[in-house]
Amino acid sequence: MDERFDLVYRLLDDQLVDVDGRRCGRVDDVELTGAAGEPLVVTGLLTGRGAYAARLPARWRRLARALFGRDVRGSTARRVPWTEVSDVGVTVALRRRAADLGLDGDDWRPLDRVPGG
Amino acid sequence: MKAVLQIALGIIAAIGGFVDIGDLVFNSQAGAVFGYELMWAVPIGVLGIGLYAEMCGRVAAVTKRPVFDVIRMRMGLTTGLIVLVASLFVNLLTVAAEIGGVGLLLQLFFDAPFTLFALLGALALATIIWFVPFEGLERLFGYAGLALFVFVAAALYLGPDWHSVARGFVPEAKSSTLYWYFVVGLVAAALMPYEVYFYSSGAVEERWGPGDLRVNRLNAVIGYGIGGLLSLGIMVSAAQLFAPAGVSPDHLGTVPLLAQVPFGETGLLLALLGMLFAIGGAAVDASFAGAYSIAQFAGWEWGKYRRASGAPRFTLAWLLFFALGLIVLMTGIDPLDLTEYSVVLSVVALPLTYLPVLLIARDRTFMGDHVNGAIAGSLGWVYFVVLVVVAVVAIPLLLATNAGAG
Amino acid sequence: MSAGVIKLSRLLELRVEAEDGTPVGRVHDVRVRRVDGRYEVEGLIVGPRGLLVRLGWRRARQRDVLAWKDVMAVDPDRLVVRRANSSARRM
Repeated sequence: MDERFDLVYRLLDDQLVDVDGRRCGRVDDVELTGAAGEPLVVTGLLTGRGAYAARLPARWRRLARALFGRDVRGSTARRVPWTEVSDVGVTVALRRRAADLGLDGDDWRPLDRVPGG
Repeated sequence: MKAVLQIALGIIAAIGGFVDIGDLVFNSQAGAVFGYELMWAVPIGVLGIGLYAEMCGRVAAVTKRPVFDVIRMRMGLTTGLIVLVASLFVNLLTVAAEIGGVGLLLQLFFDAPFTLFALLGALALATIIWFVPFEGLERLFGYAGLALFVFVAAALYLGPDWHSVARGFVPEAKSSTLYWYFVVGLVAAALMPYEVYFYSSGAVEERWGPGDLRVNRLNAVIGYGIGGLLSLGIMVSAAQLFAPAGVSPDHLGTVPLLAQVPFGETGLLLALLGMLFAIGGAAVDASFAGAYSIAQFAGWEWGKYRRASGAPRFTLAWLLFFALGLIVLMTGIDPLDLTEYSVVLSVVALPLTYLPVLLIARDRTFMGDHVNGAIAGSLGWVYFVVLVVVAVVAIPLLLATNAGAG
Repeated sequence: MSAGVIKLSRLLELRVEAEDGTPVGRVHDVRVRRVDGRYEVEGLIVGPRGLLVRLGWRRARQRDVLAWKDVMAVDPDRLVVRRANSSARRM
């Protein structure tokens, strides 16, 4: 990871990839902790459609919440602690498996049983 | 030697996969109504798709990012979402039109309701997709699509007035709105966005790297270049057979006549086979393009190489596209009208997806030494202007000519 | 002021004003730097909301880097900075 970088240009909207190389969402928002006059530190990433509404223009927020859902942690959006990020490059690499980080919402077990595919 | 063979086979598949229902409809009608006068529009479209595909393929091979990954990354969520919705809409119309084309062709063999054949066609395609790996799909539909060379053979066999053909490559500024509608349609039919979404994602599916850049260039130049001959063959044979008779092919079943008249039953069967697989292949590509777009935008796992269980949302997405395409057809809309709408509306959305790719392809921080050279660079911008102009006039022309009804 | 969570999306939609109310622009990007293993916000990239940016194109040209230490308050609808351009550097 670079010593210095810009969050929108390099981190926001980038693909998340887990330790097995599995795509598991995008960086839909970034969590910063701190305040004016104090250090403001990157503490986590947010991923999931629940994070979309906050990104869209204020005018469209209610419509966006209706379409994409509210930010419900654990279901429509998930938080990935910054400590779980191992690298920010072409993609954002995570230290552990998607399942261990709660990012396996994509999985749909019934399809496992269908032959072929 | 084996590598050369592999590359050649890939290019051959690309040639056979060039034509879809939009090209069939617009080229046959253009030939029937305007004879050879619109020949010049085809190379413009072919050059455009070759250029766009080469850039997308290069970006995907070097950065491992297919089109919608680039769009999300460079345009962010809000603008990216607008581009995604527009793309999905036109993609859906395209899927519906292609499935409709398959249904119409199957209906030529047996007497049963169109919707039944559309459904059977969609089920057959979905089954083939399910069990055949990615590369096999491209080869299967691509090779069978080569049967469309029967139209090129027909065009040559019928002995056109070569002087008139040559003159057709010189653009003429006519005042007929119908003429310009066809110009838009011919260029748009060659430059369908789903083809590039599919092509760039395919580059990642096949794990292309910088070493595959030559293959990418050959695919784009030779694959699409020769594929463009198929479009010209359709137009020239239509100019020779339909134009003098005043026939305008407003049913897909008339197009195979172009091969039957000179070559009899053999010609007819080759034409039908080629059309069935070219259109069916396009249905596959378009539904995958839609699934790739959503999955890449949202960050889900995607790709046929991941297998259905490895990319569940992606798999459900392309299945859903087939289902929604069928629903669109159930509304009773004429598949040929639907084809014209899908082609014209696609070109309106095209500049939105073209620009981000062009900007990345010329960005050294992403592409390193593989940035656009002088040719791709200047042509790239020229085409952006061309696409914007075509996009702006497309809908007015569609309305003014009542979708080509004149 | 106690530390709290501020989302990047929130920073990006705030208008930036000097203490006296002079508009400075909007936040286009947030620059972070590694300090003792953590990534701290070093500065904000602020600029006018040009057409390109409105269209969603990133990396619009001229921008200033405003040091985080010059941010006085993060209000619900604006970001207040100390004496506009005092620490700003052209990029």
